[in-house]
Amino acid sequence: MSQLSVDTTTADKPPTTRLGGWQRGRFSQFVVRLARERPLGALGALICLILLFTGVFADFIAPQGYNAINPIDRLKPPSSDYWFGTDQLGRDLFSRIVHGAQLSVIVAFAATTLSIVISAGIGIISGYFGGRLDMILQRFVDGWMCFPDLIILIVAVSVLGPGTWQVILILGLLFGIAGSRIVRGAVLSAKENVYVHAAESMGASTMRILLRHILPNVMPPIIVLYTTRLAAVILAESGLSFLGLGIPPPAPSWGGMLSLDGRSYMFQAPWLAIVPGVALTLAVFGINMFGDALRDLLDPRMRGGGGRYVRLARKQAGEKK
Amino acid sequence: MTAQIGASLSADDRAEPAPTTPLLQVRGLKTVFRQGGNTVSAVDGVSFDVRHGETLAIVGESGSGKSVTAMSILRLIPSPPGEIVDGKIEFDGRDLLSLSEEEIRRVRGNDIAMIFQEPMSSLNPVLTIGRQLAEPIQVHRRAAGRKNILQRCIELLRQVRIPEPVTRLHAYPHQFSGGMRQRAMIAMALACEPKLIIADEPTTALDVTVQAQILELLKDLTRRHGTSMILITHDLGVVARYADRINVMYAGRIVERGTALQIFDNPRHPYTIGLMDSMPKLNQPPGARLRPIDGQPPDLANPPTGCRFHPRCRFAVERCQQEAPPLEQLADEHWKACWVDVDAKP
Repeated sequence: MSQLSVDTTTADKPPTTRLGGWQRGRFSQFVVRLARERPLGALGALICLILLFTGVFADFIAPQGYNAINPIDRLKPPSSDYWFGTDQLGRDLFSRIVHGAQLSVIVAFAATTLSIVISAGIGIISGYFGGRLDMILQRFVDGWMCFPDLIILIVAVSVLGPGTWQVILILGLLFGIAGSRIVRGAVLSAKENVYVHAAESMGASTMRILLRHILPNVMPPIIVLYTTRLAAVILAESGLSFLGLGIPPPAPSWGGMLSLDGRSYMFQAPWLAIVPGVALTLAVFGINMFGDALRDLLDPRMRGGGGRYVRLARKQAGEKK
Repeated sequence: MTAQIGASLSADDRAEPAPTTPLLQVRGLKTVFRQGGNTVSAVDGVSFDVRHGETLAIVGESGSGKSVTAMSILRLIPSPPGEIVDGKIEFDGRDLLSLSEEEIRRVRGNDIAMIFQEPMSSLNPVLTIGRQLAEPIQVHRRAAGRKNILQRCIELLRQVRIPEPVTRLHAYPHQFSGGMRQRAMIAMALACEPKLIIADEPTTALDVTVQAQILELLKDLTRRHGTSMILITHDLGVVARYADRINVMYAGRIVERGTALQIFDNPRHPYTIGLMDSMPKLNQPPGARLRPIDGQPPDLANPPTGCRFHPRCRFAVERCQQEAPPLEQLADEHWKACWVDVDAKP
């Protein structure tokens, strides 16, 4: 924590402090604050971490491949051999859930990130520049939103064919364009702030204004959008797989498992529906809680601790005594 | 002046003999706003000079075009609906109106800096004071290293008399009081050692004691650095104390110009006289009533013919309705735009 020691006694010596940026100790402080101020958010973060970890190391965690068929052990209930039971082809459900986490993590983060980039891009350009450009962009968005999502999905899938990257592209585009309205609204109010004019009056370029003054100030709605969209994308992918338009079997998509196997064998083997369902619910819950907490903690105006300034000031006050 | 951002710049400036040409020359500036079918002429043929090192006040009521004049100088008029339709603005030998967008950007904050009237909202709430202070330097002095910038920020905070500057760099605007925020804004304006500071009602949102502190600070800093300042205000008390010369604006035109002494002791335009009469005075008998200026400010989409003040003027003659009076010199430095020879002294 050497950066935190501040030299105020000698004016000529270069001060041992820095302007902003992530610094050592700041991340651990953030984690402590998260746990202390938003326990539910910390739980969400834990779930997200588990999801990420499972996704990344799926090959090492899963005892079997996601498509390893054991014809003898079909529709077995959970046991010590098969923790979550097996499906109608005798595939280990635990292995499939673990591999499914990988798929869901990839699809969810890729599609959501794409959608947020599109939303922020369209929203900021449309909102900040306004005028005719805004008019044209927004009519395009209007037109796009006139079509029911499902129709767009069906058409797009029939053109592109089913598959992971197609699903990511389609979902990203679908949510991205619809979400641009929210970003645009936030930009419209943010750009009227005096500090934007002040930045202009001191010679900041348009790019600088957009990135340093507008973007950080529309971050709260974007973070909320990101987390709600992340959950929505996981659900949408499940829905697509349910309709047979998503990621084709035997890929272990949670939605596909829920719909194809779970629904058909709901009464003989309820774990086939319950386990992917619980996995989906937990993932969505965790992401939402974490996003909520993140938004509150990252906004300096809502900082309970008062940030580095208060800590430094307190430290100085202590030194004087 | 590659990595040098400090005091060396102003030292060079001071060494030169005071140039005779004014720092800023505004000639026949006309700025309009188009709304629907209407054209509102917010600034209508304004001409004035700002000399090296002087503080020029522009006073006038709300909507008289003071702020639009200031924004026009830096070409910050939102367009559409606004547009500078005519005039010439010469700053330090350069015509600001003919510069490219990129060139005018290099003037903003570097040669001419601006201070806004709302310190509460003119700082970005999500960036620390230090980061915002560093911004003009980062924009205009790309070569300056991180250490130099940091050093300069601390020095700036010290100049505007913010205690514990090193700690305060990490503060967010909401952790500053109104007066401190305005000090921080002044520090930002000073960051690149501009030749001209435009202060647009810098103290309107502050309480009276803080107002005085801020104005003293501005006066002290501009004097020390030899910076010129345009002080835009509607507060005549502020003007009397801190301005060298005064432009009185009414409905987009300058109606009277003079030194602070001339304007206060010997106002010659009926509008200026009206302003003085509507101000409480210490030597007034108790219970005496102030004399307001009758009527409303004109609708600038549809301004009165001739002199724009004539519908409210006590002294108006027929000529006032037909012809707009030009600015005429009364005495050294003292000008007025009025057909009638009014002497306020009873």
